[in-house]
Amino acid sequence: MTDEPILTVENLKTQFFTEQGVVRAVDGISFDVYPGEIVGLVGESGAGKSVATSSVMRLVDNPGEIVGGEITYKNKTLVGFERAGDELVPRDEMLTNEEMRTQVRGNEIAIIFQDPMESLNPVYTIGHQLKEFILLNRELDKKAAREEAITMLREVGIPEPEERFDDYPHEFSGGMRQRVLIAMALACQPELIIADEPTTALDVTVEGQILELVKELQEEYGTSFLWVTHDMGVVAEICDRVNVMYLGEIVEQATVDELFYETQHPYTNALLNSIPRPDQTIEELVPIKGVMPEAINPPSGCRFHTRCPDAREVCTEIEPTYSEITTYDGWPHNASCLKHEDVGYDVSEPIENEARKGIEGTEVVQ
Amino acid sequence: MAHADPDTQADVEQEPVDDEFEAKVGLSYTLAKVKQDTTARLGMYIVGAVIFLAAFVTIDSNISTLTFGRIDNFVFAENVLGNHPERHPPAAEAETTLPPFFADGGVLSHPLGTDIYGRDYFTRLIYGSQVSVTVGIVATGIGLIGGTIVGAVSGYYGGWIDDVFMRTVEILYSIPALVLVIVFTVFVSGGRPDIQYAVIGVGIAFIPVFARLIRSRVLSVREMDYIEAARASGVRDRNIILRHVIPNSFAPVLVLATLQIGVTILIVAGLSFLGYGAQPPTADWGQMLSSARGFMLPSPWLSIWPGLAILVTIMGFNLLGDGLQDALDPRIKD
Repeated sequence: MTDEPILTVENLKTQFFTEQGVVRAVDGISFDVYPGEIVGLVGESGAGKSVATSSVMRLVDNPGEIVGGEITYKNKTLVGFERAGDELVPRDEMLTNEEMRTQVRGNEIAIIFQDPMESLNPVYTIGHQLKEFILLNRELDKKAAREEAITMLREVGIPEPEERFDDYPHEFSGGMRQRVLIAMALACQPELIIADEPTTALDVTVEGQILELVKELQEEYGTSFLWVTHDMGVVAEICDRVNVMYLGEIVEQATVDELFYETQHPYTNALLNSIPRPDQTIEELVPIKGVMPEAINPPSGCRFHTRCPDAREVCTEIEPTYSEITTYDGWPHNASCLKHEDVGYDVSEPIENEARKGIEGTEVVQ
Repeated sequence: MAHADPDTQADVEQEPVDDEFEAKVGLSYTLAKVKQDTTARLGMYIVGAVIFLAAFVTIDSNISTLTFGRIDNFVFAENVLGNHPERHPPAAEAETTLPPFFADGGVLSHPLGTDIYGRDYFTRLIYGSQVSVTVGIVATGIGLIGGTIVGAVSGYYGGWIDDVFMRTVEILYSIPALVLVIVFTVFVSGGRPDIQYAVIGVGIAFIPVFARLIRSRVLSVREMDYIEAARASGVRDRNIILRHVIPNSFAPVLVLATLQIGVTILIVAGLSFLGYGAQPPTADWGQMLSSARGFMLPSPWLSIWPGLAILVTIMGFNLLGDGLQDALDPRIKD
């Protein structure tokens, strides 16, 4: 693709100032989204995926705060800082909250949330809610908005949309509600939709249908997606490029085929090993041992070294740099692992960590 | 953007009553559940009757002649009703106190007797219902609206707004309601207390009750995804609070408001009794009790009738409130 990216995130840092300390939920991530692309953001629970997406929308709640980095959407500076003395202060061209609300949220960038059961207001009919969002973000009168809402409901595969228009959310199944949410996101004709684990709450058959629907609609409307998920299966199904997040950092970024077949980071590898794959026959799945450390006090060196099966002494000391390993078809393949750096990984001693123990620290029976 | 009231929409779609997917929301569903509950139904009838009396029954001197035979009643409800000043009694005409019709010396034309000025007590009781219902609804309304705004705003925004609002409200809450209202009434009225000052005072005194309740609901509602979704689609804060937060926090407030109407009536009656509410010659139950205070032994009925009226009305609102609470609480299955 020769186009400019529509969304560029550079070195984004979002921190939560809690009583226990500063939680570095997102700690310097960079990625971009090109027009018409579906970009995945993958990682375990607590990796900072949702905080990253909230940061893009500037919807981080107290005590959270975006403390650094740049987010550019088309020509708009959603987040931008400059140095004033010792402090970083927002630059002038950074949109105000009011401008974010009127110019970006809903009409340029829309969000589909994880839980379709919770994302619709129970006291209004779905038609009412859909119409409200259309009226808010598009220049349509009420009648046209109603027509548009019904068209969108039909578009996302709701049968008999005229009748269902006046139904309440509790009268819909989970899959149908997720379709309504997708209709709601698309109805405002945004150029970018952030999908925050939209299929996690659905069963697999419905998940498959929703993914098909999204692919069709994406081709039809040319909307870009930032697809947040922890499911590598969904990534393989739908994404063009993937960012893998671990503990507030992006550890690997590549096109989806590269990521699956030329995996460069042990964490991505571990993620792939922990799910069943139709192209491999194995006796038992290999889970990632241990739990993610707290982002208040991340491990020294490489943040994954406490759980990495390939961790060596040097990993506890030197922080890997996020750099381009290879390129594939014009797309960079980035990863941050000392294996790919010339810092003496090969001569360093392997270390004992959670990856070599069982869960809860018991010895693994091999 | 105008939108249809969700309750009326629910009415329309709940016609198939036996449908197992029938909506578990909406006014008609709630009312249906209230009707199944005997005590709540009783409360509903009492409240309905009192409101009917207050709203529709006007015993004009002409009509009363037709309805109740000869009644030399004069009602004196100018303050509330805007009645004609010519209804003032010919003072010398009747100075006798009649007992109720079933007691010795009672007449059927004055079913509950007359007061010390010879005014028909039944008529005054009925006009008293206007004062009580108006007082209950207006004062509770002031508390409800004020409390909802304060509670919803501080619950939604949190932080220093929450601190300022809730601490102010708690200061208000720490002063006994009766004292607060008396002081307020005397100050605002410039030493000439009357019922409207009492109503406003009671309304303000009840703001904390509603504010605290709705804030506690808002704290959980604001974490719901649909609030986040509304923010993410660019809905302005004011509309999020009015259209998304408050409607979803309102069920317990509705219950409290119903119960609170009874409490309000009682407090205002108490204020009238103490002389800080309705002033004579307005027909108000509390004021009637106050006037009857000096005649308890010779004419006990003068105290009993307004007392009973207050009792029954408040009981009606309380029963209805309890019934609503059960109907709106999803944990209580029928």
